Amino acid sequence: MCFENLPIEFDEDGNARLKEGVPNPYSYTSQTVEERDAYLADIARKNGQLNDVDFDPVTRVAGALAFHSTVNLKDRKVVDTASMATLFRGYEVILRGRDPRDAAFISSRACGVCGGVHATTAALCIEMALGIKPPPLGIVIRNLLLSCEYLYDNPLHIFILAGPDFSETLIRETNPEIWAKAQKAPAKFAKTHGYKTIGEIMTDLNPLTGKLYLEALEMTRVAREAYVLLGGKYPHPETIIPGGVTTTVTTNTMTEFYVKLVPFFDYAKRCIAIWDDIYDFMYEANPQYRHLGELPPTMVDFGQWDHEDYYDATYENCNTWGEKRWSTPGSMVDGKLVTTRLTDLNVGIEEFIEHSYYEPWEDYPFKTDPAGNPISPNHPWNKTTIPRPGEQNWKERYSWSCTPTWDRHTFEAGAYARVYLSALAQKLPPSNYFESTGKSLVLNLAKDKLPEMKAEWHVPDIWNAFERNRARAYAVAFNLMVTVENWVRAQDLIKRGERQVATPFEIPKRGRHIGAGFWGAGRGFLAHWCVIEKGVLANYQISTPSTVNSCPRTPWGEPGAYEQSVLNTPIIETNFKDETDFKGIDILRALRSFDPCMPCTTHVMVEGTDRVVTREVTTCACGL
Amino acid sequence: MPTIALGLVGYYQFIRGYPLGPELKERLDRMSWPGHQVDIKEMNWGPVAIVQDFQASDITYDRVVLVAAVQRGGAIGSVKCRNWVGGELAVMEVQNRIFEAVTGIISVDNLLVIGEHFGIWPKQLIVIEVELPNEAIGNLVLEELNIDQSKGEISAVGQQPITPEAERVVEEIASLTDTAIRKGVDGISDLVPLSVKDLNPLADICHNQLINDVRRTSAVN
Repeated sequence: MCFENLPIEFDEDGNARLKEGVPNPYSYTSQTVEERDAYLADIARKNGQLNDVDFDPVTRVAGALAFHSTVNLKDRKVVDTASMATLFRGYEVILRGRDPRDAAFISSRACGVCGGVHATTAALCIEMALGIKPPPLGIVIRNLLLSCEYLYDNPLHIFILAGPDFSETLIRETNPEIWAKAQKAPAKFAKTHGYKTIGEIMTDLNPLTGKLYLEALEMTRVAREAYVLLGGKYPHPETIIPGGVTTTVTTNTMTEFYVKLVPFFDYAKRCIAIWDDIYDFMYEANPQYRHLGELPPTMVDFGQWDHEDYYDATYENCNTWGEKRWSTPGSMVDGKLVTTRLTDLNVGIEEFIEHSYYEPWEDYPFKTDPAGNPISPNHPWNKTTIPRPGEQNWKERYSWSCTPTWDRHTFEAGAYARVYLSALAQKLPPSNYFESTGKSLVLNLAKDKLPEMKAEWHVPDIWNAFERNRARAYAVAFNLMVTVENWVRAQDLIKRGERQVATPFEIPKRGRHIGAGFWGAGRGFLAHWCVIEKGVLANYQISTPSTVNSCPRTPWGEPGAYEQSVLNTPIIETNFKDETDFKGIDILRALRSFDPCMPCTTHVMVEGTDRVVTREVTTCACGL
Repeated sequence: MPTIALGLVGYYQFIRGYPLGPELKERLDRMSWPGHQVDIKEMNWGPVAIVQDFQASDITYDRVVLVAAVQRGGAIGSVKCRNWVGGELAVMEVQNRIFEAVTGIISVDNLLVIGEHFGIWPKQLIVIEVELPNEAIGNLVLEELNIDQSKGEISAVGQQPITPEAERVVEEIASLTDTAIRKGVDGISDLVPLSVKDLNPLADICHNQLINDVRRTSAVN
């Protein structure tokens, strides 16, 4: 049994079909504006402060993400939330009618942090649609690029984006009582990271001046320097194409690449030690932190990093090659692993636009996937992107992000999902560098200046903001060891005389072809779906991790991940007198634990017209 | 020989639909500055990456000239030459700009602040600011295409022609850039100082509405 909510069952061969006798199998009930009003009025009555509710509208707050929360300071609770992606960029519209070979380069521009992941996902999508199987060395080089990319991306988050929230500067200001404890609290893992107390760590997390902060900036540069040896440049690599890569691989290139990786062996050990110390301390300092950003662990990830012996780009075999990936695909609902099959993940995906600035579409061209499994009219293969700009109104439409669901659940995506699902699934291919136990992910980190270390990420008993960040710290080590695994494989292939890195292909001028790129980004779940007709892209859909996490409510009123996690967040901040000096640090910590990367999901805002306006946040924020 | 970096911030050379970017780049490429070593740098990256590029470079620039489109409330199409004078910002105000910078947002304001913090700017930094309209995308951003579905053929029809008004703006930018490179701050009349106080402020990522603050408005929203 895979699906709880979608009316889909499986035969004895694992093929999905719609349950018989269910009229309108994909129908759903939307929460009405009146029901939403009643809900908000109920909040106000319970708070005893208002007879009715009429919130000031929130105009565009930030460049990309605007997050609105309603906070009761007296009870220290968040009572309502709304997550808004405020810009429209229209890549799905731009790609319609283009040559499929453009997809990798154009979609790459969706994001200035992870342009490589979009390029790769686009390449996989076109490979599946047109039956292009890359050569083994091309697959492995792609893995090197996409694991190395995260050596830039994940440390960036934990030290530059989220790290300052745990720095002396912030803690002293928002919770001086915690700072007082931190100065005396011994660091359990001092032997690894070198800090005697938690306070010392927090001082070095200070933004702009802290040693850990500055070191992270430097390490992100080292990772990018490694990346460009194979990718040509970063962001927006030049070498990723359908069918493989265009990199010329030599022994020198591989040696230089490895030299850049070496500093990460000790860095990964220190990442784990630092963040284990910080989060364990925060829990001890105030157990309420266990509920900060809390959610039942419900995640979807397509896995990543294909095994060159299994990946053949076909949908027919995607369950096999998917489960042989170096991080295992899967969905997990409330902590329970549901499936690791890519077809199940694909079949369960739907995107809803009831609270988004899009028009509904009418076509339903694909009733099934290429394997004959039923798919929804709301599946991306059936979706048409029709922008419908309007005023913000969080009772109705308030975001340019649509709402992806899996089996009608909103879910989370993240680097932590790769770690969590791989740990649970026990399907990782054999490796000297990592192992899944069903309850943990074991990582064998080689000796450098620090001794070799066996790090083990354990499935936590509660899932919250700190555990997301902690898993991301372990993900640095996981990324690194996947890079090493693939570096060894690349060397073996080169020794065997393999030199081909791409498979030539032609774009067929006739016929209809569909494909999907199931991949991941620094922030997890990433997929592109395409339909190619008579040689051009007839439809192209992109679903990013930030779409998943920042999505507005479902039609039936279930909040998205950001929204729900902040609703669950207690206000632990102590150093404020009233609303004038309240900082909302706990809400920010909850939000940042998802590693929000709004350029990925943002779009160019239209102000009262049907025209597309230039506020492209990765290519040109200023329209020159 | 003075060494000068000429940075184009917000220019994307492959998108022809923008009215100014490619035309401006081509115009600048045709110019020469004898007696000056001028490096034309595309700065359409996150500012932290630009900082690291400067830090890695062996060159110490005598002057930096940035050409950038802005929205400061001026008349559309106006071009203004400004002299960066820096200023003090609180740590978290700089960090807020780094939040944007490392997630790939390109912004001349963020670049100025972050560059200032990491000490990459020389004494002379001139910013040529152009106020552009919101609508700066051509036909779906890219070249106009002719798609013949019956034959499965795509051909590029051509590029968006530049309008006379945009040509005027390009020439004005080119002229000011030329002066800024050849003569620096001393050679530009009507140079307006640009400090941190003049930059567009960032808005908070999270708006907290405190329950005591809830007010009635006239329309249900």
